[in-house]
Amino acid sequence: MTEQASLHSFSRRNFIKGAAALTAAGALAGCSPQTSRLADTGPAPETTIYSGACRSQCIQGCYLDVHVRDGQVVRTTAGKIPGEEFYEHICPKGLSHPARIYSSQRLQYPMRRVGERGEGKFERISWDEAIKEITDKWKGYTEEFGPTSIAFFMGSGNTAVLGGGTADGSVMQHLQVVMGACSVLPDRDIAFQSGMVKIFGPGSAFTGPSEWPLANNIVIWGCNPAVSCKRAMHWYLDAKEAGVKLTTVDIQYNTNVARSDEFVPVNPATDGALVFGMLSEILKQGWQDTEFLRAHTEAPFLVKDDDTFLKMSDLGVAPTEGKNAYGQTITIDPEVVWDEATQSARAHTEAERPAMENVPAEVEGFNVRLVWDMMVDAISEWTPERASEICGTPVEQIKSLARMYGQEGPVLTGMNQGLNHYFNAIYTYDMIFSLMCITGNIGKTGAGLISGGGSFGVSNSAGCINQPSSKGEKPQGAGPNINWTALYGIIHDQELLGKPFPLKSLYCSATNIVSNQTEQNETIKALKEVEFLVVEEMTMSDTAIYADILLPACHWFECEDLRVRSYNMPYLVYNDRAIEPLYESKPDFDIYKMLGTAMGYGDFFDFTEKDYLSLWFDSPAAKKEGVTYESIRESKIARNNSLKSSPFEGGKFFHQSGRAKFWVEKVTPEYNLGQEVDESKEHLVLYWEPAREANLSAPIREKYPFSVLGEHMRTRNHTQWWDVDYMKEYERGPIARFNPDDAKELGIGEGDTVRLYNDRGSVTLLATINAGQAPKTINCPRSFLTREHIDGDFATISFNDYNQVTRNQCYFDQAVAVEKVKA
Amino acid sequence: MTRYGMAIDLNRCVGCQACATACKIANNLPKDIVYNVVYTKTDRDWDSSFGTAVVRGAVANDNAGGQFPNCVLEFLPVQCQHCENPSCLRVCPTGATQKREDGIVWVDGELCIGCGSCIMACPYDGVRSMNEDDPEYYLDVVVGEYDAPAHEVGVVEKCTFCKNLIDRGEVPACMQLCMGRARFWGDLDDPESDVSKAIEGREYHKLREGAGTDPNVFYLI
Repeated sequence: MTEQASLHSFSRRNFIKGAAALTAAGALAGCSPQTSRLADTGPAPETTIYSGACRSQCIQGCYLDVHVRDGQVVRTTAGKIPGEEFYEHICPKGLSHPARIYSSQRLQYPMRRVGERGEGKFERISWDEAIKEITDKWKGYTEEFGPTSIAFFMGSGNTAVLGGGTADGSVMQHLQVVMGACSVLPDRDIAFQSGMVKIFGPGSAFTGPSEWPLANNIVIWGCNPAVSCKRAMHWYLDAKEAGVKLTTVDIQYNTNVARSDEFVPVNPATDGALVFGMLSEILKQGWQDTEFLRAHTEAPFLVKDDDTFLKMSDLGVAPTEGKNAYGQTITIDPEVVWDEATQSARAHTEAERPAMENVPAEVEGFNVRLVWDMMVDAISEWTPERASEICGTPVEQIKSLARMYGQEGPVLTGMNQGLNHYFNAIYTYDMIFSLMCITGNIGKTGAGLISGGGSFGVSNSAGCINQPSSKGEKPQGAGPNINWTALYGIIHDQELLGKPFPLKSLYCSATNIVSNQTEQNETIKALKEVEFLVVEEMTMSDTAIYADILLPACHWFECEDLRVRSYNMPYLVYNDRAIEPLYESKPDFDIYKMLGTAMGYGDFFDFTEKDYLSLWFDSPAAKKEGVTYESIRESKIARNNSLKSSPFEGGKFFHQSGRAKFWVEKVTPEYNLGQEVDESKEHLVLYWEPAREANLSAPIREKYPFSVLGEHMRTRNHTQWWDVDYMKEYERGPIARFNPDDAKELGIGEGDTVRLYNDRGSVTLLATINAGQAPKTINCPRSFLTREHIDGDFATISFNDYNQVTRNQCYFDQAVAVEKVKA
Repeated sequence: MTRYGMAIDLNRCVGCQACATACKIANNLPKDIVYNVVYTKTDRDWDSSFGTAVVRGAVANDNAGGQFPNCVLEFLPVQCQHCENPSCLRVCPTGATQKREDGIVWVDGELCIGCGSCIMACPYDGVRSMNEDDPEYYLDVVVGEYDAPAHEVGVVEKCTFCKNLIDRGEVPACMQLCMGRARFWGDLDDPESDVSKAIEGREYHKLREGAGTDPNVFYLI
């Protein structure tokens, strides 16, 4: 059996032979017949199950059983989580890992570019040569321009500690901090998090699945769990079976809608207007939860002329010191409210009944505005009718949604990143979170937000990243962060905001920025112009093609690691080294260590996997749970039992006031690229403006009539799994879904070749007719490589600049014209 | 008596394709062989067309029908129905098609002559495949269970209910693990089995019952 089960001749697929050059795009597809099968008679061969962590940042991170027979991964199944079977999951991606491991597209050797940048011609080199060449260059740059002339793009493609660059104490972060290199921020999916932190305060807002059946209504709002967060789908369905009404608010009729009781259609990125319409109806009917607002939000706070809150120090009460939830010393200077009971100004912590109306215009000598009054004023400019004109949702449906939030709670609101991908994202999230607070649909049983959070908790991530050398030296510290949108400008001009910023080398690990960042043509310009590009990858991705030096990373199951990131599962997952790395590929961990050591920082990398993970576990949360390196190697998974399934229980929010926030005293943009900021939009959370191009009334829509949604694919996460042929049985290639009437007007039929284009880019793909598509919208599942498109690339049509305060790429805020290429 | 059956809750299927992928890999299926297809449907007439699927030549899955915003989008996973009264069994000239005592209908590749009679007789289009040529695989490595079905030229293949797995106490690959928790499997004669409990009290549909095959796959609707 051993012989039969052995690797069937990879030799015909060795796509680098000696120093022969290769065109990446032409790399060896095709299938060969398997030379043997296994179902012959004889004793059953032994199968060993190893622990696997699926970890491509699909926000889930499933625990898998990895089946190994004769040294090969032959199958993956869902790992068992006794007592919490609802956390057992595996999707088509998790099921097809054998095809990633044995993909013909795996990079096998370190390579050096021999053709033009991006031409895809490489020669095989040894690891020693590769590491020496990289670190010689980096040392030269460091000497001449300082360590910040090197930037790391720490992608999210491997959400582990030893491998990948996620911000959870990863070895790659340690390498960056030791070298003093810059970090290029991905700047994606930011507004959602920003809105949560702004309104609810810093902490996990995820409502655990055990709470879901306790809701009366659940709204899937602007997200796509059936495709993008598959794990959550059966939780939604379980709640529905338990009697919860399921409603989906979306721009298209998709699988979530098909499984819901009600569909609320909304025009792209107009959800904020929809909420204004709802709030108008809610106030008209008196459905706001005044007592919740009074007790659990900052609505009763008073704002002075300088836009800051009236505080007890203004009233002559000296601040005191105290500790916050993290044990840090903080200044306590409580905000003032008007106490209805005593008709006096008192600390919100002491007032008997903070006033929600009839607050004097002048309090203790200060002109003040009541936050709630400003909210009411903002809402008073809207009606359901005005909202309906913008958002396209029928007036009656706006009113019934208002009734749901106002009268038919508890309501759970399910959200992810869909609304994040527009220029006005931050205002959309602010509006929806405010709606939840105004109607008291958070901080109560069966109410809250479904998203985010749920990861293991506080690790010793800082201790890992900043760990001193074995000789006790401290790392020099990280270089500055570079916003994605500024990267090309810095590379091209070698300056930022008029100051020199020599940036010579970029190192990409666990990321494919060409395909997954916005405005691809700008990305490619950056990659063509940067002096020295190092890419570490498993396959010849669109980014790998541009590398000067290409380092082959091994598959996740070929190395030991710990999956630390998941946003809806309170477990860590330990990943066994199930098989040896194929070819000459190496674990990320080894590669980062080799680079650090060759840079002359060997003493900072004098640790084993065990040492590093043990340090990571040196945290209060891990100690409380009794989790150690040794224990998790046995148990494979570990739960953080401290995470609450209802994070705002009792209406307690993570802000210092303990209340949900509606007014921002000081506007602090998340990035500084010299942009002008109109602060009038940013103080009060009830503000809305249309998206840039997805807005139906935008002038650009005369030229480019269609907005384009780029939903996730069912079969890939970002571009990972692009090389898994099994997945092409479900999603064969790039498509554009058209509304039937639009298609008719354009003369487009099923399977026709069409081109979508605008001033930034163009993509040619196949049209398909989908009645679920709203008129004037197109939906292209995104994550294909350039070579998979008929022409162009979907990622070329987006823009890459940001809202004035939010460092957030806008993947869906794009308008195009359509041209039929071929029937 | 054990009588295996499956229930698929169409209100819970979200078209994720996990069952199809699990089947494909656990059975080491070649490129062109598919035992289990998750179709996209734009109506709720389960007995007419099964719908469309990329693996059956469609441009895309997941397209809705109707008129926006009043649309219809359904998913219908179809595999061998392991009928109580299989029409394939009656027409097989060599005895290759067999029905086990536990109800599993299977094709013995050793006896199959590839005449295609079963394909013609089966009312469930597409659940069987004939290997016309040497099978081609996506991978050079043999994946799946060690006793996955052989894939030989000139032989008809179809869903085996993963009898290799069942016989050693495991569950069919498509049960491992449905994302929507739409699939239930077990002994129909055991009222305590998952499948019996899933069907209990629920309205269900059996595909194309007019054919008189009495399928053991129950679609909960």
